[in-house]
Amino acid sequence: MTRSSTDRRGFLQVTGGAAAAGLLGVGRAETADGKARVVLVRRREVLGADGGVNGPLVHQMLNDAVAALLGEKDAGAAWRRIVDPSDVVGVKTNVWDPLRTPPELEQAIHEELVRAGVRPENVAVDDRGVRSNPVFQRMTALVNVRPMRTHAWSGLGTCLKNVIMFTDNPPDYHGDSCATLGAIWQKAPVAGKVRLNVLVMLTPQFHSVGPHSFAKELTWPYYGLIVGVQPVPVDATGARIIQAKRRLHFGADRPVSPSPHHIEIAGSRYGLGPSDPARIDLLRLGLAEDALV
Amino acid sequence: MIAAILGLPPALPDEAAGWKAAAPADRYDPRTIFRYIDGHGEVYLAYGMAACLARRYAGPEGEGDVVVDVFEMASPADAFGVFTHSREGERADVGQDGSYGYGTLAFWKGRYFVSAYAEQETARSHTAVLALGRSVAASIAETGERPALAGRLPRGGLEDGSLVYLRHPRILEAHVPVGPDNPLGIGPESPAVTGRYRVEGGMADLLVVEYADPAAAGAAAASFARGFLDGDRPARRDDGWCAAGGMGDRRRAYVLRAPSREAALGLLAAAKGGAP
Repeated sequence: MTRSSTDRRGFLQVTGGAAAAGLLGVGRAETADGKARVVLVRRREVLGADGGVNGPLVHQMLNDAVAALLGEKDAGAAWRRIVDPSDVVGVKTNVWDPLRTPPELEQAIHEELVRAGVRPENVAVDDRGVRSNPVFQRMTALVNVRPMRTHAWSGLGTCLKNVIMFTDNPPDYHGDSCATLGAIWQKAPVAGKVRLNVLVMLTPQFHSVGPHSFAKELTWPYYGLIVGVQPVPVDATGARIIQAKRRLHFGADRPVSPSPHHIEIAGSRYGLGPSDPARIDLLRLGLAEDALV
Repeated sequence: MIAAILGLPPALPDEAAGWKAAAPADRYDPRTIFRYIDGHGEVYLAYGMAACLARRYAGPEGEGDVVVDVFEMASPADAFGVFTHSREGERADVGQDGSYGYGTLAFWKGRYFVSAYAEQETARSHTAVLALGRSVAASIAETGERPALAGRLPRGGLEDGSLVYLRHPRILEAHVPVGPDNPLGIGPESPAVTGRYRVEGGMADLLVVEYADPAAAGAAAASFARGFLDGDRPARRDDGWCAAGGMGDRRRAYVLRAPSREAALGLLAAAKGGAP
């Protein structure tokens, strides 16, 4: 494992009162100079020759990222800052069939939550059933995990968008290219509960085509996870990678359409973190080749 | 027989080029389409989808499945519109207009928009996708007219494949950033056509909307002026220059994201001057 920047553990500033994130033990994961920390971890071996996910390795990548995010040497200590044994935790995943959150990663999150002391019956992983899931109905904390992909209405399917399934009517948020997705994070049951955002960048999708919005050729092996506390810096970092990939693929600057402006708006209007790279402390772990960011 | 009763084309073939249907076609309506293609169903509802027939075909050993979807839209104009919204890649000689890119064939014919999608693109699946598409196209007896409004965009400078016909604000937002609350009054009774143009100094969007009556056109003009113009004069926004003008009582042209005031006015003049 390589670490391309110096160990900044000592610089991590734990700030309470992050209203949107509600992270008593974690704060916003800001550095001393006020930047939002985001961890990009990549390991080529996480994908097999057949595209399958190496479960133990993706688990290790997750733990490495969580530890680095919070400036802990031990992943267990980091997870114990993310959740308390008294918590009831919903893991909001994404099961869109062509490109779902890998079950191996869901399992890794589940295991770490239980290892941190959360009772197994107080942890649930769900997507489309979150509104009727008994664990989600009494949740005190959320872990938000999904793959990055292009999307017909929001431009990009992001961590910000992943909570839309908590709303009464998701299409209500599709106007103006989903500009108001950040509002969901200020309302029950999401407000104040998201402890961690994990944007899956193992095989992200950089363009969409057809009724099924998918073609395998429009994904590529990136071997990564982007992990952070606030959703905006996580999504903004992923968006930069997607845009860079599009430039490479199309041979020209072909912006994501529609514009994924919900990311910037979620920061500026709803206080969900910075989207400006100058205000993001991107900590890189592992593979550096072709990082595109 | 079932397809005929449903008013859909009678022939989603049982096999083509070595790909064989695994089961009969599934049928979806505007209520159930979301079970099939999730939130993307809204695209087809925005063009008045009446029904969708979907059939999966298993390929030879080592090849992926091919999925064929036949959408019955409200009108030929809507079938043309959803095709223009969806096309990707090179032109394909299937249906009235077709495209093929990334393993997906898309075409329209009459009231129908058809997609054939190879889950794994290979030379063989490419052949199968085209064969299945051509079989479906041959089974659709009707043809339809392109909407006359599509002919109102000037051709000079128009980027190939960028023309989109639409009648729902969500579709417009997917192509041109006009902001919230449907400021141009796009709707079923106010269809629009938009295209991306090469102009002096860069690119610009031109949008032509045909309103139901002069009052609706006037209201949209006032709304656009408030949000995008300096009075009724061109104005610069973060993403470029905007301009607007009338094209008769019910039709209006809007230019957005132009690199200069002169480019915006030039494109507007081209629109008002008519097509070629």
